[in-house]
Amino acid sequence: MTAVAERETAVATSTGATSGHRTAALARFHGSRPGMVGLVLLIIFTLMAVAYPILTRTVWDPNLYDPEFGLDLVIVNKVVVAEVVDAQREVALAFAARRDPSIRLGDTVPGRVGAGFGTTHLLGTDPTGRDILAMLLAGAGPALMIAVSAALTTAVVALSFAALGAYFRGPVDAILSNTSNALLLLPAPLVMIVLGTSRYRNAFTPVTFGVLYGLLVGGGAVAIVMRSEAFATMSKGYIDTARASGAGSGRIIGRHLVPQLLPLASVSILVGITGAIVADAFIAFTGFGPNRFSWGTMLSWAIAFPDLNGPVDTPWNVLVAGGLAISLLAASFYLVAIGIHAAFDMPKR
Amino acid sequence: MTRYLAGRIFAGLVTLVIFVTILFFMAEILIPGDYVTQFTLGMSPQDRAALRAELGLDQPLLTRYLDYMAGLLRGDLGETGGGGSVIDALIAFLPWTLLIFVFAMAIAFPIGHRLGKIAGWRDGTPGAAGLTMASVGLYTLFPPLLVFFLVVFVSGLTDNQGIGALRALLKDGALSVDVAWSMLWTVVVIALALGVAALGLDRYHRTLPAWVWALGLIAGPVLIWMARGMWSDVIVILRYLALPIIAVAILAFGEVALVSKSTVKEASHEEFVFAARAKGLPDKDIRDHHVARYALLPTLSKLMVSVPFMLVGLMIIEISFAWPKDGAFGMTVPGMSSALFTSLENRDTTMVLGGLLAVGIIVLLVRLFLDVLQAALDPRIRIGSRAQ
Repeated sequence: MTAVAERETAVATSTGATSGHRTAALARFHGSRPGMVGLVLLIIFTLMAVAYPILTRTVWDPNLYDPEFGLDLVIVNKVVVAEVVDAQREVALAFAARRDPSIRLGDTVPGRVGAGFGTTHLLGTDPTGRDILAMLLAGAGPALMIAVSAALTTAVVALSFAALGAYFRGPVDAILSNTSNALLLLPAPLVMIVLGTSRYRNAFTPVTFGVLYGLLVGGGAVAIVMRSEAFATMSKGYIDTARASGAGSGRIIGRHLVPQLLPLASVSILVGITGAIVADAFIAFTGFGPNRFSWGTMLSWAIAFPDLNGPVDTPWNVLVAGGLAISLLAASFYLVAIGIHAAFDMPKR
Repeated sequence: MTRYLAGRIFAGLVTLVIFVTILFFMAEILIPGDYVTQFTLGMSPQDRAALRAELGLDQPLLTRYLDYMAGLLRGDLGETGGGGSVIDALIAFLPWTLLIFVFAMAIAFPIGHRLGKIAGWRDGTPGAAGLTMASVGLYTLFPPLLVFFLVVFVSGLTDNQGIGALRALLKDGALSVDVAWSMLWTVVVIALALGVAALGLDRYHRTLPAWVWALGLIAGPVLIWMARGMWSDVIVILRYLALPIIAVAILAFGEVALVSKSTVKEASHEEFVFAARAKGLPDKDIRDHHVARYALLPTLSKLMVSVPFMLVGLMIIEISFAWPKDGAFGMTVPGMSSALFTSLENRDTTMVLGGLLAVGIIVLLVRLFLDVLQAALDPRIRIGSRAQ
């Protein structure tokens, strides 16, 4: 028994699981510029998600800073003064003058894209007075939840497909790999867009959305990449050593095969889940999505605004802020994946 | 080679059957209601039952599944809710999407591959890291945002009426969808011919120079279009499709550059690189003739996995140009995505199925093509498959 344990320690050393290897991998991640940029972005997004509930409970008036209903009357009235019928103008002017005495009846107030940067609204507001920073913070939580649940599901599904297929081969591998090939023909983001705009749209909380996406992409694209890696690992000498020393299927898969697959798996998983973020944002962008706020909703509002309010400019500040947040979150996962790839200095496939 | 090809085609067919089965049951379960519930609110129950019977919607699920599979064998994808055949609808919608994809890849692949090659060879320098980050930025740029930027900054280059006008032309009958199809065929056939020529030369250890590729791919189609008298139509189409093509090319460029960079980097650690260095070959020759050549196959096989995702990006871009409805951006691409989404709103399950099936078949064909290409370029694949 001790001999087995010793041999397994030796195996573990050779597969790079010692603390020395870990430090070296961390150093290589640290040396990868894209990886570090991605990590910093990801930390910022996490802080944003954490900050929103804290801010609304302490310094921010939750009515003023609600991403959907937080209408700042000062800004609403600024817009209204020049637009509405006479009876309402008096009321609007009274409201507006209380905060900004320079406004006169019938003024054509500039700033149809809302307020600019300021102390009350750090990033300005949209034309109806909703705070853009509040929208950005409120959208970070759901987006991260989708990403995390998609990543975990993808990991579980893809690793089981690859490990079971490579260990048992034969009919098990035939079924799993054919399913993967078929799922690859069905692009996960497209399926999620179709489902997310269907009757079941409100069944999709961020978590269920991520899980379903993970099932599709984990069983498809990621499983295919992992499968060839798992086959390569199974043909290594130490698997035979473990088998000869009496290790069962569970032990070989759990202790020797899966740990070896993890670095590459995390790379393809992080790249794979960028599609979940884009798909969810796109569903919100179309306006046919589930009834909850997300960054995509900001683009949806911005595009719809001129349609609802006559020939005015698209409020680009809302559109660009939301669009950049989505793009940067997706990019941060991709960049971290590049960093992990550099850290483990992936072997040739 | 024939044996290998037959094996690949058989495997592709098995995949297709599994794919259609998953698709059929998923669509039945998840797309709520049917065409009849969507459009016949004023009808009496008897009329509805009659319409269901006529459309075959009263049959049990399994019977409909078998019917659908049998129809598929005959090349019949059923009827759309509107009465036309799904195949006809696909023929009308597909070429636009495919044209955008082919032209965008023709722009994105040479540029992306070239830049990725240089960055992969010089990995670790600030320039390479910059290119990596720029490529990731382009690849993950939210398509509606990209479309907004393009429309705001570039729309001066094309007609402001943009793609909406293309649809009007199609409706007038001034421009037929056949032109789009023959544009597509011309480009594909010429690219294939050049590829076969390059493979033929490879036997004699010669490569087809880059300028022959460029000249053939640009001048070839242009001459054929002029000779067939479709030049003016081609110009109209290209002008209208210019913005979507640019948008898809920008997204695809990032992907191509990233994949090329990582494969070239991996290949640059191979032993033959040390051998080439030891021979005293110039650095640039090793990069272009040894490493990049060797890295082309893994690049293509990795891009193969991303083709479905690129198609989704393309469809998202098509919709973004057309959103909302008649377009804040003033454009409507008459492509696959508008077909898919209109039929989704109408609960037209057969059409949605047909659209997703078309996406799947395109992906399958691209994969088959790349499999064959790999086998043609790499004898180990052919011989390995025979030995098994």
